[in-house]
Amino acid sequence: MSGCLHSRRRIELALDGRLALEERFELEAHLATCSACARLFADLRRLEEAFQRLPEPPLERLDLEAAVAGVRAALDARPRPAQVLPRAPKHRARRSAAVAGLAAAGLAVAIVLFERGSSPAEPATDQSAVLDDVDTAAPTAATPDAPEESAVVADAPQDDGTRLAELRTLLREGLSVCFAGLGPGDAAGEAVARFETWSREAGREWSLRRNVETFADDGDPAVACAALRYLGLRGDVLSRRAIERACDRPELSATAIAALADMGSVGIPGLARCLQEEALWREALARLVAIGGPEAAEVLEREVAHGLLGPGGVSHARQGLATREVLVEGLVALGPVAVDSLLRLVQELPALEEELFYALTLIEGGSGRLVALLDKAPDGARPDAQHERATLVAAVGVLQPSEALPWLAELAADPDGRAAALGVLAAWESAEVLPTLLALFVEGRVPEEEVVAVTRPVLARDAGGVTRFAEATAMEGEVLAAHDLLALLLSCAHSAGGEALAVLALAELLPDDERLWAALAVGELGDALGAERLARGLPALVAADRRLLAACLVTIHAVTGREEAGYVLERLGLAEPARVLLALQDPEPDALRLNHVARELSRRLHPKEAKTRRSTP
Amino acid sequence: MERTDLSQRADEGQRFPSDGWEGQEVEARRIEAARGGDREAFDGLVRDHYGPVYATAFRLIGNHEDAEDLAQECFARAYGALAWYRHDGPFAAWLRRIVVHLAHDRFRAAGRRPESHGVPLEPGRRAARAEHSATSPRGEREPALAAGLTPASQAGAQELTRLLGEALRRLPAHLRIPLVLRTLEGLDYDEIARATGVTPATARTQVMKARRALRRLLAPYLREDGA
Repeated sequence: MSGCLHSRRRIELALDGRLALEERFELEAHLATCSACARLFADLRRLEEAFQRLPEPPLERLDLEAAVAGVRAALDARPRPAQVLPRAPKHRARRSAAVAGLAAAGLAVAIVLFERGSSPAEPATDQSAVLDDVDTAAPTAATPDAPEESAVVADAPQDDGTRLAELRTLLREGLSVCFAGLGPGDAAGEAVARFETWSREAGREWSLRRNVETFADDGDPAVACAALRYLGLRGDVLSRRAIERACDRPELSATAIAALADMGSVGIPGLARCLQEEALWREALARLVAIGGPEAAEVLEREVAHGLLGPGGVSHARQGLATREVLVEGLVALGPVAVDSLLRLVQELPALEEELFYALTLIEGGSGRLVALLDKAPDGARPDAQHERATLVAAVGVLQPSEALPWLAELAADPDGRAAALGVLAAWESAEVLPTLLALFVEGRVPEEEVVAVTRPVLARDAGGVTRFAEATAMEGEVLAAHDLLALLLSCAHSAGGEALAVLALAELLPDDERLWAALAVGELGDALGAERLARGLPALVAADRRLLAACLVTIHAVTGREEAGYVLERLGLAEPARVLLALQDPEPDALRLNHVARELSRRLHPKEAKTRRSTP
Repeated sequence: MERTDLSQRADEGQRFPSDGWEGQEVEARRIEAARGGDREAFDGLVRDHYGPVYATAFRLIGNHEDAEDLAQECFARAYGALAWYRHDGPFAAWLRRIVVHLAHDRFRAAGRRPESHGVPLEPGRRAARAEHSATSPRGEREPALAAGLTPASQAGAQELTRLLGEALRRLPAHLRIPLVLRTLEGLDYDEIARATGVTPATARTQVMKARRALRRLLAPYLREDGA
């Protein structure tokens, strides 16, 4: 029988999934021998399985907005919160009294009195009304925390003055002792631990926060400061009001601000209020920046937006407070989280665009945040979406993060965003934008002439970067990319692209005719760097197509002159280089001259072959 | 969009929007604002928690309309009682306590109505009870769980599940609520104790009693062989 009792307990555990492996084996052994327990287990298991098959709540039938409206309607039809004070059922009051005893009840009265004195945020509760209600009202089930509190009030003895005084003295002393000598800037973690130990030993820990709040405006600044530091480090949002009130007392304000800062993001609303005080804003701003995070950024953003009321960004109402420039500096100090705020401010305050975008450039890591925002950029033609997108494009133009280039390319492919995107691409500082332009050029999603118009200023700005890109393309053997780059550079017809064209002319991966075009284009663009590049690479072309070699020589001669061309010819080791030089100086049209030079080169480089060819009928 | 969110929340079981540090911060600020009379902030709380509260209400009450009523009543009560919320536990758990108390009140009120009856658990009275419940007061034939239908005719998991729903609705409130919270809401006994205002040991006992009561009610249908 006792085996069955044990097993039934184990069955319960098994159903709850809390049966240890060893116990499970024992249960299985018992079930094998006891049909009653086996049947019980099987029945309950089937029951559990049936539970799992019960229909799920039909959440798809819910209309959340209708529900919110329903709650609002229900609230409108109800008395105000202060009128629905919780009432304690009699039996719970009696139970509390029996358990707690007189001393506990006295303490409870003290706590309730403290709470009433220190928490203006709560509904104004008339204690006599609460006490009256206890005897007459029906139980209210839906305020689960309330009955106990009302109950202890109802059961409390009235002569609690001594107990209350003792409690106050104890905590006051604890605050004085544990926080002695601590300034607003000192770390107070140890003091908090000491004070909690102190109060725990006194058996009051369960109501510590409420009690300490009553000391936050104590007449003794040392006690008040200690209470503030404690509440700040405790970080309970409910204590914030008590700390904020202390900000109004000059002797406590520094500690109160430190306490708000200790609360972290919970204290930010309090610090935001301090920004409105002439005597407090500097300290509050510093603490706000130290806390950081998006909430701090939002506070500063709000201040910047509200601060633009008068000349210099300072209204009459804000005289003596932080100027707009100081607030923007604060935003910059917050780091990447401020990017969102600055962009919103740009939208709100277009007159400040330049200043705000400059601030954006000062934010370390701001580009990363901006790129993250691009992923969430709104689509569509709604004015607000267009406005936001335009701000993002402008910000990308300012910060020019390379990670934003794919986004810009997509935008450029969209007729609505094309002009803005191409404008930013055209203003890009470095040639890192070239692959993006090349892709747009090749894919045909943007008209060629528009891509060419955007590429020209990039070439002018960073010709060296374009050359390096051409070198990398040639080195990596990207035939198609080299081909496309050549096409783009030829379309641009910009002298700054000459060296890159020379690189492509010397690149073996391209077909000879394309290399010939590249070499001739260097000459026509009159780019000296390109011509020099060709001259340096010419020895490697001796074995190449004669016309390509001739084109290079024509270009070198055209850009650098006869002397340089003669020097290059000497370096090639030709027999009778003067003949080639003469051919280069022919006053014939380009094509004829090119042909002439190519023939001369053939004769000089391979005289036997040339003779044979001449003697052949 | 909102409906999808609600379904997702339900799929995730006990996960609430206030999960995570940022969510808790937002929630704390909303509660503070709502305490000060900010209805918009309270609307935010309703949006965040309506789905889970409704789900709990539905599991306790068993039908959509009443569950919606209960959920709305829960938030209306919560607004009035926000001053009592002490941030000493999840707001969602606090709301759950309210909805459980409201459901309990509703069950008790229903129990006092003459047309509503608890299910007799003693085997000796089952037959009499079955006879009574086989026909509704309006004279309609009800698929009552003890209406004389044989296990053979009602065999199968689907039928058992339907009968379980019936049986569950007839359990007394003090057994039904802990059982639903344990089995359908997946709460542990500490959480059940907090929600119902009893000790964890009592909650455990109540769940076990509820299971045994259901077993007695559904005994003929739990064994496919009818044994």
